[in-house]
Amino acid sequence: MYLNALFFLLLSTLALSNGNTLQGTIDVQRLQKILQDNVKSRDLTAIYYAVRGLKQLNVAIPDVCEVIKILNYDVKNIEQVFYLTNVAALTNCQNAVKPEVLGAATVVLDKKDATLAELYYAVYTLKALGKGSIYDKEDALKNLIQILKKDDSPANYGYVFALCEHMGCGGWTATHAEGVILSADESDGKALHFEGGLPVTSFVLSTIARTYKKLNKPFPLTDEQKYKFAEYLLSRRSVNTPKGATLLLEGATAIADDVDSPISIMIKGKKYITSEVDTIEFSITDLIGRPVKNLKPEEVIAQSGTRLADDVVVLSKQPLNQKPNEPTTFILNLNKIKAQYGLYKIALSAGSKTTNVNVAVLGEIQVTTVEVGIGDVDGTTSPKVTTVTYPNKLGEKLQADHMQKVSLKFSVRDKWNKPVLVQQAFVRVATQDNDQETIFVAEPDNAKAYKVELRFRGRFLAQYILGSNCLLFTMVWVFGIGPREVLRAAGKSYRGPLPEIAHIFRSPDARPPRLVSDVFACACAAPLLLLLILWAKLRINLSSFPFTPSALVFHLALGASLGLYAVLWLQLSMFETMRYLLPLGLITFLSGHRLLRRLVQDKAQPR
Amino acid sequence: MTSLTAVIPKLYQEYTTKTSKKLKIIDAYLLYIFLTAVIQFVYCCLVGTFPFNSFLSGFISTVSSFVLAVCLRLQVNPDNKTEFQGISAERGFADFIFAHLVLHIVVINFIG
Repeated sequence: MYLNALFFLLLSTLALSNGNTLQGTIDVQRLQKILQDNVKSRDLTAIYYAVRGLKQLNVAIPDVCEVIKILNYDVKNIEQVFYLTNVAALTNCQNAVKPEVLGAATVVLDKKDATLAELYYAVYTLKALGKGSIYDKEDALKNLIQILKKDDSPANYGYVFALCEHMGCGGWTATHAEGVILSADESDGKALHFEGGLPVTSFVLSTIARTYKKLNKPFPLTDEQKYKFAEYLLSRRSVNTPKGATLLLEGATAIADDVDSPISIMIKGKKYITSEVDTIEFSITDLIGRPVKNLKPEEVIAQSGTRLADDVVVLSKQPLNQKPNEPTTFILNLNKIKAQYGLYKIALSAGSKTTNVNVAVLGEIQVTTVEVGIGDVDGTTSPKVTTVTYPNKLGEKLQADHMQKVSLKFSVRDKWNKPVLVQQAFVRVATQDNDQETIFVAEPDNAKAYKVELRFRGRFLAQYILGSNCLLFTMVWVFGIGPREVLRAAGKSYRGPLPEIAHIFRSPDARPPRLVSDVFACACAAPLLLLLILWAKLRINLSSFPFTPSALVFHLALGASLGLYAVLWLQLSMFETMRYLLPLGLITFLSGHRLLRRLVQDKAQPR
Repeated sequence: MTSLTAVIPKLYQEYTTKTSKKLKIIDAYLLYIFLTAVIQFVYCCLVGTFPFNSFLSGFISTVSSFVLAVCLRLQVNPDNKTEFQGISAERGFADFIFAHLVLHIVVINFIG
């Protein structure tokens, strides 16, 4: 009979620590859906960005000519005119645009204090309307640099770069792009962006990328900068507006289209294996979810796998298999470690890029039997052991007194009946109506067997609760019901005042009847009589008793000492007795000394 | 057997005639102590040791008194004079009294 373990364990916190890879991709499908939803709207800005984004994605654009004809817009506002003309240009609806819009652009170009944004809008409006270059290239660039000097924000550089793209002064862009990129702000040491957020970052990056491509130069970002810009774009991936979606798409594409672009390595689906499913799928893509360019499938290798608990290396240099028909999905087979529950760190490399991934090996546990024993608290006798098999209950009632304890012993085994350790093992003991409970922590010994000693009182129900971060389930088994008279559960499990402790002394044994005691008292005294008789028969010569003061004092003091002993027996304490005994003893000593010295002298000189 | 019956009266006669009076007094005292101890032991066997400390102190008192008396007898015996050079009978008696005082304060304390 197996007890297969029971609750599902969540592993949401398994972390991916990145070496030099990204931790996600931009979901192009989602962005495309935002754009397709917004292209039918009545808002000019939304339509413009939606059309621009869909064009970038090479997706069919619905006919918006009728919509722009009836849209309300201000022909004097250069930004709106820019949006309108560009939508018309991208969707071939130039006929739907009123000719007055040209006026707004010329007004801006004639203005003395036009901003770079206005100039950008005006120039691109004219370009959309097919009016070609109006500017004299050299002069125009000088003017732009003059304006730029007043406010050299990254956004303004972006406009100049964009204008240069149109005017054909890409060389100037190439000389200034790296400086602009260096002025990007860094946040948390891991993301780079330009002042102005996503619009400016995306605008500057995509403009620079296009310009460099036209010049046949490599993208001027270092690998680190690419990762950091990519991180920033990833942090913005939850955009909802068509403007945000298009800008995100353009920025991400600018980075992803580069020859050596950042890649993303992610676990696809579940982050754990079990004995049934022993593979983990990784998705290896570029920033926008496309297969990585120039990545050969044999270059995807699990360099090493270590168990987090004890740093034991369990695999090295194991290649991953590319999933058929899914060029971005790679499968790692962890068949070898599926029996060793635990958390593992896997170092994965794809080409020159590496990352560390944490995965878990989950398994099932079982507790087949538990040994319940009752033994003495001092451990002098070996406990009487009863074995209970899952899912049965302890049939008999356990009885133990305060000198005894109940001990439980069980081992947790995996699917292959091998003892394993779990992170949490408790024995919960509760009354049957659950109003009192005590939870004991089961500690494993060296042989991985768990042992608990229970101390409680009353009629209780005992269950196991086992859990670990590497288990598919935790388990609960109610294995015993029975009244137990054991010592009260001590410590935290009991709240409130403990009952007063009443000491019970050993009750005196039955004394013999008075008659017996008296007879024996007399019997003990009888030899004294015998002694006196014998001494009398020997005719002790008391006549030579020296009636000197020393002799009298000595005998009196000795008698007083013995009398004092009798008083000590009856009522005095030892300290009081000592107080009286010391002078008495001194007197006895002095008088006795004097008496005996006289006796010796008498003997030496007979009268 | 005949020798035994012959020996015992001879032994008794020797004792009564040759032993000094002082030693006979001590021997009578020893007999008294011995009989008291025997009666206490019989009580213990018949009735029980409870209260144990009382029995123990009484019994120890008799045993110790017996030992002390034997020591006194050894020291007083003129035959042992060479053994106890410089210790007179009086000195032995003084030691006997002192040892008894110490012994019985312990016994009384223990008797409960």
